[in-house]
Amino acid sequence: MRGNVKVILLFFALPLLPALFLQSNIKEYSLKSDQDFEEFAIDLLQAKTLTNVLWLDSRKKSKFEGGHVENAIWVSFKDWEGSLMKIFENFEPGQDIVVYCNASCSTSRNIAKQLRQELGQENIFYLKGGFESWQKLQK
Amino acid sequence: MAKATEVTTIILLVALFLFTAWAKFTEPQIFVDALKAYQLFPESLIPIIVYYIPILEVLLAMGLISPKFRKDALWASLILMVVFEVVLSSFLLRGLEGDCGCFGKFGGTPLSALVKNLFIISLILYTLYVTRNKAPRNSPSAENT
Repeated sequence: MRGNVKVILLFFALPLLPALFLQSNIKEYSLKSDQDFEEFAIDLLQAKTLTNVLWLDSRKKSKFEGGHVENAIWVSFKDWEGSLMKIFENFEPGQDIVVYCNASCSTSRNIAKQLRQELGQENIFYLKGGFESWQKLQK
Repeated sequence: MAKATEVTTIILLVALFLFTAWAKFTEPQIFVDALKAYQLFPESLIPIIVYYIPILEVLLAMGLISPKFRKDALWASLILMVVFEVVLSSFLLRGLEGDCGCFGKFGGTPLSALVKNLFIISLILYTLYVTRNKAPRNSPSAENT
């Protein structure tokens, strides 16, 4: 009934090597807690005070298609070049950008961080509470 | 009956491991978020665990397919499932909320994962029990019979 202990241990040891090699694919900032992103976090009430906002939806495509903030654009790290193109097509000078996803996900803050780095702009935020907070306000 | 149970368990486990590994590989960020929500793992270990688990699942699926390593892969799967149960139980007992991270973008609650794993553990235990006297293929004892 017993298995070969060495083989069992090998099953658990072997994946370590590729995992150590691949770990660099995970961006360091994606591991940080929300407090580290506080400087560009914005809640819905603050977002409502912004007069000209470009909303970016970073949830799953199916969720976006099921309903989203009015005029929001769907963006994804998977198609980053395409997402940037869509942002440039819709962006107006002086516009603030607010990225949102689900309440528990961290994609929006990572995208906001990435956009801040790539566009060199400070008026890019992520929405605390995510799409759920926007939905609650609609009810 | 024993053979049928073994084949069913193997097919189920291989399909499950390959599916969950694929789901985690294709959306590593979702798994990162889930692991962070467990509040059990140091930040420096999360990027390693994110890839370690799906690679282990693929390896176990390969082991289960191979008659020579099947029994060892079953034992390793059992250990992995028990570890998952401990982690999920700790998550639930601490009253935390979030995705279990088991199925990547397909989601899944920790409670449903706990129940699913219990079922898998029972299947593995039953298969190990019914095949307890069966020597692995290619082993000397198998060749003598």
